[in-house]
Amino acid sequence: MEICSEHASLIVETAGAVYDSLFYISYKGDNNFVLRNSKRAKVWESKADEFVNRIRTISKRIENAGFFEKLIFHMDDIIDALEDVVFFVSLIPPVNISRKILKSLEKMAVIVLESSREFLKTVYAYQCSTQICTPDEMQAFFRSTAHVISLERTCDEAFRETNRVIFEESADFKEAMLARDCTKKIEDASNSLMLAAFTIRDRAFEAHIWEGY
Amino acid sequence: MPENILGAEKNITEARMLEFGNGKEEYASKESFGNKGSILVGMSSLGIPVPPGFVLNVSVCEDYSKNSRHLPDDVANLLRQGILFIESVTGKVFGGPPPLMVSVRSGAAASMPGSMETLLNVGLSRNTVRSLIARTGNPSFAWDSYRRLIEGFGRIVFSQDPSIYRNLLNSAIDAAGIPEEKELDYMELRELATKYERFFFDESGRPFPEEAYEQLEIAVRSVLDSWISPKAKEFREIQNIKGVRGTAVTIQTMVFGNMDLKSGSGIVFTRNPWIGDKLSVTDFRLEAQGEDLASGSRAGTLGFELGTAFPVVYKKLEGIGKELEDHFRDMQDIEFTVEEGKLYILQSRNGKRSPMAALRIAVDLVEEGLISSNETLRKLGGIDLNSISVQKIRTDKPILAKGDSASSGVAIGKIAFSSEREKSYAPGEAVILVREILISDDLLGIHASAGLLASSGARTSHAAVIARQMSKVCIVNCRELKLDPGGRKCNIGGKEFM
Repeated sequence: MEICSEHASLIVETAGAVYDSLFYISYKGDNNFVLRNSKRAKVWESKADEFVNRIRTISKRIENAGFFEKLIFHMDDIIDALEDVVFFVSLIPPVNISRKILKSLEKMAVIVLESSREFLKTVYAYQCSTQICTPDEMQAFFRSTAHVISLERTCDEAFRETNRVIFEESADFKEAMLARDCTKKIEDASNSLMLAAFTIRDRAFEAHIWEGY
Repeated sequence: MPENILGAEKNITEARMLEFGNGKEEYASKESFGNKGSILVGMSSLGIPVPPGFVLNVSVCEDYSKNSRHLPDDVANLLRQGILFIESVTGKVFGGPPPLMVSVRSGAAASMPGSMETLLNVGLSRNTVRSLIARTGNPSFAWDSYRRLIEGFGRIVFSQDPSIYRNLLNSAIDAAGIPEEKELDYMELRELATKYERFFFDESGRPFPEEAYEQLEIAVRSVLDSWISPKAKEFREIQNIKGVRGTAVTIQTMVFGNMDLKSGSGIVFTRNPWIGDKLSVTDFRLEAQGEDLASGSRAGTLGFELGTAFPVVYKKLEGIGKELEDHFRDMQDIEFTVEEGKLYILQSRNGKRSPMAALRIAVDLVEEGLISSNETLRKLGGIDLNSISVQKIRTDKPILAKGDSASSGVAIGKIAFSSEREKSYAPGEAVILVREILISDDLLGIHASAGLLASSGARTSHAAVIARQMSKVCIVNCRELKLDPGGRKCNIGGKEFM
């Protein structure tokens, strides 16, 4: 689980890069920052791949191998989708993107960043719970898991709203395609975050971790 | 009675320790609780959003000095009592999950910007970093907070060479291929913290203190020691500060401007401190701690004005600025932090201003009915009104470079790249101190110079405030100024100077 928490931390970094890049574009900040973020996200994804391989190697020798393989599968999907978004966002600056579309994308980025942070909290809380678990830690676990799940619904609504804005606002093919790719990948990441959170929650119930409380 | 505070005659306390931040209506005299402490207690009484905390009476500092720098017997209990109060208000635990972190600040009855010490993030350790990540879901922020704590303790408490910490930081920035520390990721920050811990151990011969109460006691001692430090003594001598008993110690819940992109720190002057007009002046930086701006190490973001990024917070800040100005009946210099979109006021004081601004503000305050004519004359007592002038350069030559004006005027002189170099010039020779950043440690250099020029830093930093107070021409954040690392020459807008 320690390796999973490292992977989840990289997810947070990459989700942060999505938000930071859109924010900088929105406030006409430094374009180099956006390009740097894209390169950094690629590095984070590579590091995350190393963690995935380590989990897959270790899981052959440990109990609950199925749980870890399923969890890391979803986590791998999350970071892949987010890295794609950072790349797509780095293509935005030369395109004269509509302010309304940019704001809608920013809104989605905030949701996926929040969801990533809540997921990291879930991973940490699960680690506590596998050792000695206090009622506060148990509550923290359920709170963060529930939050990731509800944020997926919020992201789904924002995805539909952003698509509506794209169709209403965009008169340019490049702009529409780029914005559409960004929304799709953010929605994918949010969906995988939910699946990963479900995986951890199900495992917690199966293992009767909360017995005694 | 606290100066200029309406209604201050109510509930003045002389307790050894005073809590604030939970809506108690209480007033503390600045003689007993320092300017900062008395103002925090006052603001809390007004319902201004102040992070909860407590202040140790100046008498603790007096006893500490009398007692050959031994903490008085009651201090340990006062600290525990105060921390228990903060824990009860915030729901956090000092040294445990969820971790409570506090700042430990100095504050005398006289304003001494940047000349005494402050320690931040006290209560955090390698163990509690984990809890902080679990609480915030933000590993970069947690590791950044921890490495700042180690640096603060190393530099301030253990007098370790700050340039080593800076070099370690610069190496991390270079290795990551990024221009600024705020772009470091959690792995790089964790590695940096480990290097800081190793350096701390090598230099002090002991590991970094892990236990929260031990950190707190060390920090309190350090703040009390800073009252008698050479820097503070020099400041009091230059500013002719006499009859001040010592420093109070303020221990306050940390709020974080570097938590995420919905966070930041800034300084706002409720009126323009250079020319005195009624428009407020704000320096704000996203994802930064207040200390970054005040110490001069980072400039305010010019492109990301607070009003654009956080319109609701900006409106609220304007309202609070007006309330504080009405309350203190003077232009205010307010330090604030936005944490996850929520505004906190850290400090408010009468803002330092140029003589021209002092005159204009005084006249406006009378016209607005905030102060009487007699009070105005008293406020302007130290200013030679006949000497107020506006200087401008008339030349056909092109402008070499631009920066942020921290104190306006015209200065001509030889370049000095350090305060030490400045001393080698003949007495009376005009000198311009040129630095990468201006820090309040340059006090003597600032005092001796005709003007100051820095390639980075904020116009609201402590050093810039001191320059303005001393009527020195000062430009900061001059991006076209490149200093030679050897400190022997500089390049301004493509032209070399030695």
